[in-house]
Amino acid sequence: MKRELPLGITAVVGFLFLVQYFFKIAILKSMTDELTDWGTIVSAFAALLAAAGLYKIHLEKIARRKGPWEMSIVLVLVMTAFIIFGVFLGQKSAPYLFLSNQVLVPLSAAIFSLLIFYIGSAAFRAFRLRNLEAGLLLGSGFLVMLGRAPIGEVVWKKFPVIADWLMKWPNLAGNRGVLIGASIGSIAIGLRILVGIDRGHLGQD
Amino acid sequence: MNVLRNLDRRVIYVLLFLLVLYPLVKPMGLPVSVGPWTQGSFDYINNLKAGDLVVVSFDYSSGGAPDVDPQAVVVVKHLFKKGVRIVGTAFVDQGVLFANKVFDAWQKQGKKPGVDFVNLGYLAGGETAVAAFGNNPLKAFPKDNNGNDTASMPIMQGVKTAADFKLIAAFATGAPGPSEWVRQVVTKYKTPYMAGLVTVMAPGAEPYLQSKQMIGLLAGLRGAAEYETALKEPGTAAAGMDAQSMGHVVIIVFVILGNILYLLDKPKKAKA
Repeated sequence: MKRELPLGITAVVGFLFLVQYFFKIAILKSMTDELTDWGTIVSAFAALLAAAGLYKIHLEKIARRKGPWEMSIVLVLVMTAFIIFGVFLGQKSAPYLFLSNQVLVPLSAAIFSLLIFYIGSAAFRAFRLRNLEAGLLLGSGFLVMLGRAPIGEVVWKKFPVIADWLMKWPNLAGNRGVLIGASIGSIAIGLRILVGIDRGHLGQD
Repeated sequence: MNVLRNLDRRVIYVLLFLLVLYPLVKPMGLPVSVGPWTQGSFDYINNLKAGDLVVVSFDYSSGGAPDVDPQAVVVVKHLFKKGVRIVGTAFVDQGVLFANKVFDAWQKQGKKPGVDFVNLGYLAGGETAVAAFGNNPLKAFPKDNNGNDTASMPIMQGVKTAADFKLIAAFATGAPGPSEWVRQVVTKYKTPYMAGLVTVMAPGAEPYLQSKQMIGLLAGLRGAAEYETALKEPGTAAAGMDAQSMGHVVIIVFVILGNILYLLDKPKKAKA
C-alpha cells in the first residue's frame, strides 16, 4: 500500500492535468486550479523545511566542530538575523534593508563577477586551436564577443551583423534541436512516471 | 616568449582588474547600437496605451542582478513614462528585494500603489506558482506585499486570468524563465511575453523569439544598455558597457597570445 497509494495519486493527478490542458471541461478545470494552489502551499512549506534542514546540518557541524564549522556559525547567525528582521521588523525595516542591500546583494554580485578572472585565465591556458571543431568554436566565439561588445562595432561595423547571423542561424538551430530533444525526453519521462514505470519520485529506482 | 609561457595567473588577474576598472573611472563613451531582440521589446512597449495593464516579474537573485536589474529598471521607467499600470510579481525569493526597491523609488515620485502599480510580492512554487498566477492572479495573490487586499484595488479590477494583461515582462536569472512562462502562460492565455535574462541564458531562449512566443528579449547588461539607448536615456547599463568591452578585448588578446604560444610549441612537442 505504501507504494501503490502514491503511484495511484500520481497517475490520477497527472492524467487530470493532462486532460484539462487539452479539453475544456469545467469540473476538471476547477479541480486542477485547486491542485495548482495546493502546489504553491506545499512549496512554501518546503521552503520552511529547507530552512529547518539547514539549521539542523549546520548546528550539528558546530556542535561536532566538523569541517569549516566557523563558516557554519556565520551562516546560522546571518540566517537567524534575516528571519528575525524580516518576520518581526518587516521587509522595509532599516536592519533588513541593510542586510539585503549592503551585504547580500554586493557580496553575491562580487562572487558572480569573480568569473571574469577565471575566464581570463582559462582563455590564456585552455582555449586552444587543436582541431577543426575547436577552430570553429574559437572563431564563432571571437565574432560573437566582438559583435556583442560596443568596441567591436567601433573596429568594424560588420561585427554586430555577423554576430547576429551566428546567433540567428547556427545557434538557433542547435538550441532548437536541444529544446526539441529535451521536450521529447520530458514527455517520455512524464509518461513513465504516470504509468508507474519510473518510481524515482518515491525514492526508489 | 618564456615570460609568457610561465606567466603567473595572478598577473592575468591584475591586468584584467586594471583594464576593466579603467573605463569605470574614465568612461570612453563607446556607441551602443540597438539590436533586433531589444528593438522588438521597445517597439511593443512604445505602442502600449496609457492605462494598459502589464505584469513585470522580478524573477532574479542578487548574483545575476548586475546583469538583469538594469533591464527591469529601464523597462519599468518606460512603462511608467507611457502611463501604463504595472502589476509586480516575484517567483524567486530574492526578486521581491528588487521589486521593493524599484516600486519604492517610483512611489516617491508620485506613483500610487493600488492604482498605478501593485507590488504583489513573492509566491513560492516556481513553475507551479507561475501557473497558479496565470489561472487566477487574485487567488494566487490575495494580498499584496504590504498585506493589503488585492481584490479591492482599482488596478486589479477586471483581472481574471493572465489573458487580461497586455504584456508580461519577466526578468530572470534561472527558473522560472522563458520555458516556464511559455509553457504555463503564453501558450494557454496568448498573453504577449518578453524576457530579460542574464547573457548566458539568452541563446537558449532564442527559439521562442523565432516562434513568436516571445515578442522581445533583453540579453544581459548589453540588452539594458540597448534599451536605454532606444529610450534615449543612458543610465547605469550604458555606463557599464565600456568596462564590458574592455573585458571582452582582454579575453580575446589572451586567447590569441595563448594560441600563438601553442602553435609555436606544437612542432617541438611533436618532435619530442
